[in-house]
Amino acid sequence: MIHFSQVSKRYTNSREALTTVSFDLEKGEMAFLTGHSGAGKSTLLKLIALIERPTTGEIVFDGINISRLKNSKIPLLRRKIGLIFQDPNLLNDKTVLENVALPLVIAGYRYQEIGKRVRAALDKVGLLSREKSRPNTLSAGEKQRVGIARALVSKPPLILADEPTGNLDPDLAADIMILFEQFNQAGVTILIASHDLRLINQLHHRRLTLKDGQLISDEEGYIV
Amino acid sequence: MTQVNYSIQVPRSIQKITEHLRAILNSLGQLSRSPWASLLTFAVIGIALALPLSLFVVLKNIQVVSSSFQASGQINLYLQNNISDEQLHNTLVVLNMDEGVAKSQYISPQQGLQDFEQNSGLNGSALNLQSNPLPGVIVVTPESSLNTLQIEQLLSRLSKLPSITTAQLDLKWLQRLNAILAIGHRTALLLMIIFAIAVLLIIANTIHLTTQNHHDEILVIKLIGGTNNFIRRPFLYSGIIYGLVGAIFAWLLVDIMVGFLQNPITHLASLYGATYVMQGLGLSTTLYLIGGGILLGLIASWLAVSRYIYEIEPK
Ligand SMILES: Nc1ncnc2c1ncn2[C@@H]1O[C@H](COP(=O)(O)OP(=O)(O)OP(=O)(O)O)[C@@H](O)[C@H]1O
Ligand SMILES: [Mg+2]
Repeated sequence: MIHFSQVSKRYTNSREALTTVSFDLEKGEMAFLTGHSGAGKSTLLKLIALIERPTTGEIVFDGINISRLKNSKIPLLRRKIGLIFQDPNLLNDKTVLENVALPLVIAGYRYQEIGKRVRAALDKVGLLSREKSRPNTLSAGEKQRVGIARALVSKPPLILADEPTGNLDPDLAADIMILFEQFNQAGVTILIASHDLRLINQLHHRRLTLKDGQLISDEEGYIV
Repeated sequence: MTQVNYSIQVPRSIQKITEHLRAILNSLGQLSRSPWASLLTFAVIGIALALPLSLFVVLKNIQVVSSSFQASGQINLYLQNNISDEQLHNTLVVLNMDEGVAKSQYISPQQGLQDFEQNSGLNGSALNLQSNPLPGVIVVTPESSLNTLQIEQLLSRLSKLPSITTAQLDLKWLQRLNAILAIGHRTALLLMIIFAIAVLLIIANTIHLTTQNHHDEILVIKLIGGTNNFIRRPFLYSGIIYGLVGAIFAWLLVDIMVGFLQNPITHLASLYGATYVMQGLGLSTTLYLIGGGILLGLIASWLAVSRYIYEIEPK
């Protein structure tokens, strides 16, 4: 699904954030991306969603070489990716329901279909009762879950999550991980950047570790 | 599961229409969220468009009035001395065949002297004239449909007729007026361009501020796969609405101005024994105004949003 070959990223006026990173993530795989703060985890995810472009190297996503993808083609690429950030970027002048509906509105879904899907997604993250609330009336954890619902609602083949459990208490974090695992079992490829080693250690998925922009280890997942 | 199921998506054409409706509603929402600011912007655009237009309307009225004066322009043809009646007759016949001539009147030297004495209150003896110094004159009234250029041409044709010494056109003042009007029109055009640019900048700046207020929304929409067109559309409609409503404001202002001037103008015309109804913008100018407003709004918002979208593309 994702193929990195010798990918480097240097931000302007900055040292290299990623140095010759190579790995493959198969369709249907679930993996964690770990490393110290500043190791390059967010950068790696941003390269996949083309929020940033690689300086050198090649990234293939779903059979398409995206390193040189034209800007006009980026929206279609992003519709295949459910993006989850530590800061969920919700729009406070819209209700929770409208926030979650946004990806479907953009893709041009039918009105009735949008309502159905949004409620299903909100139900999965346990926030169906808050559909009419404004995001600024929610707790940090609830906001994070709305962000997750928005990423899941269009059922994208790939989910990229950057510190998705950063704002959640351990129980809620575990719930969200279970949710990801359910999606993974349904065939969705998932890559989660996190430095929550306690949580990662509880789960036995593949683990990619970055250190100062270099991929220093790639441990296979296993079934307990 | 992982594939987008197109059967639950709306047909392309309906989808396009709903997207546009959504964008229009979205931009109306944007505008109504700060009604006073929007109203102020409409007013500023309206005033900026109305200024050059009102000059244009004034010029148009001066021109219409002055063209009604054109009919009163007369050509005086001065005859050679001592021409025979036959020569005079021939000249009159040839002259009356010219299609630019509405009517002609011969004033003999004697008649001319009488007229002069009557008008001045002096008589020949008082002037102590031995002989009548006045030449014969043919007073030609040109067809009222002729414009100044055509009258000039008629003048040069008539001056070449036999037995005519000089042809004099009593229209110098009209030519001067037309020259001034031409300068006025240039000025109006120039002002229109300047104010159109001003309106362009006003709308572009307003839209730019709006995009900044919607910075987060634009970023989020981009992150979840919204196309640039999707992002642009509500702003383009906002620009169109600014231009359209601004143009309607301008139209109202000019209309009010015309109504305001109508009474004094009618009074002035009545002093000259004429009736005159002031001309407004007219249908075609109004349509140009509305179309121009919409176009300005579209161009301005396109520039503002495109610049903004370019700034947030990945580098
Ligand atoms: N937009 C940017 N411009 C310049 N340098 C950047 C930018 N974004 C990240 N960096 C630098 O790139 C390096 C990697 O950053 P990145 O955000 O990928 O780290 P991270 O592993 O996600 O860290 P954290 O766990 O703190 O989120 C850091 O040194 C950071 O300073
Ligand atoms: Mg990070």
